Amino acid sequence: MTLPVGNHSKEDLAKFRSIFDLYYETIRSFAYYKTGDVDLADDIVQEVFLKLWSNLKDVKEETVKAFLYTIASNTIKNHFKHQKVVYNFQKQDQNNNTEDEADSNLQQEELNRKLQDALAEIPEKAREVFLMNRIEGLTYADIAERLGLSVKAIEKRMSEALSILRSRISYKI
Amino acid sequence: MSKKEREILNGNSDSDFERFLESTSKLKVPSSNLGKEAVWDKLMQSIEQESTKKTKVASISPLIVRLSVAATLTAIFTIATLSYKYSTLEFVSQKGSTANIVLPDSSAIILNADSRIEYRRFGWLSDREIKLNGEAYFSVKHGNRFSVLTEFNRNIIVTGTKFNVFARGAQFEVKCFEGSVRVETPKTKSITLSKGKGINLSVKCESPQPIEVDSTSTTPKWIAGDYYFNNSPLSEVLDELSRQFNVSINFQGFKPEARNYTGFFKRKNLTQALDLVCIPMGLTYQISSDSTSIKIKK
Repeated sequence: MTLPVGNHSKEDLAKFRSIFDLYYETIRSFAYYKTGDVDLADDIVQEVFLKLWSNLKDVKEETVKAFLYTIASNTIKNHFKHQKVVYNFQKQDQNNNTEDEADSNLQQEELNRKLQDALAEIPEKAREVFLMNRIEGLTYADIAERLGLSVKAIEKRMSEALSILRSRISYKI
Repeated sequence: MSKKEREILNGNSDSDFERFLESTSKLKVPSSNLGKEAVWDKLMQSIEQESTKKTKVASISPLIVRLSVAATLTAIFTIATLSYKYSTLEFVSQKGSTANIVLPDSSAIILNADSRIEYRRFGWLSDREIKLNGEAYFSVKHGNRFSVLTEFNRNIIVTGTKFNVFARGAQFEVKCFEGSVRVETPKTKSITLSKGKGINLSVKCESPQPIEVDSTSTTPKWIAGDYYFNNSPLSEVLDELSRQFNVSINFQGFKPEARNYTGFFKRKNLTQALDLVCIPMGLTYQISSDSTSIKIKK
């Protein structure tokens, strides 16, 4: 691990690393929900943490989470042209799956396709809330804290996402 | 599925959708191509580059930085606010063209050629003043008040009327077509003009000269492109020709100020207009090949 030069102490670096360890995956996921691009997500993560480093002294522990998400949102808004987001979610490994593997693969493809179509219908703000809740299992309160919104707002976005998905999925099956 | 989500779905059991929703919680974001540690290393590299750049800059006390930033911002804000508040809107009509303007109170102004008006962009409610240089026809909404300021402090107080102002240099004429307007000058008492009345307050006039106004119309004749002159100095007639046709006029062998003209011309046709002015006055004219200048001889 290289030690960066500057007026930051070893303690700063340790603090920085611990924040990185805690939030790397979740910020990367957030960036992925917004862009649908894994490589772009890593670039965004770097920009976000670079900003954190230069503001490390001013960022309090209680607000670091919201700080990271805010920077991530702004970075994406400012630097990356908005394109249609195409996801490529993977299914979690489930060893206890008794179904035939081929059948399972087929099912996953079908699900992914349907999910992709349905997700595309959801407005971006509701979509990222839905994904944060479903994929990362974050509670509404936790999402609210991260995005700097009220729990009511998260509920509203979630219900918007669910009703769109419901109308899409029920109709298709 | 949480209770909340069930509520959202109106408690309607839809097993397909429930299964679908369950399956979304088993999804995961595809893994990073770089991997967490590679991202960390890249991050450290960029930080190193950043900090070597920064250490070369002499450090200034953060308090001074903050104070100077605050002072600069305050200064910019003040200047911006003041210039915004006191900035004026200016409308200019070029030679050979007229312009229509609507004031913030929805009064209408038609500017004759080569004229200019100016008023404050903001604060119309507290500061209703229009500066005019040239000729303009005003159609003011009933009940609205404002002042028209012209050169030599000859001002017009307006209360919802239709009137025409001709204010070019020393010349000053006001004609009222509807309602009434009040004209104030430093020399005379204020004069109230009612419908069909006009006044000539040009500097060379010793006392205000009443002008006849055609009271059958609510607009001056120039709006339709007709210019009438009644015993007017030829110089004024030639000036108007020059403004309306965007031409420069040179004359030889006579003094336009010394001769008076009675008649009219139309804005449509330059040769016709020149004929109407020159033939009765015993003058000949020559239009330059690019029709931008005219020579008039006796």
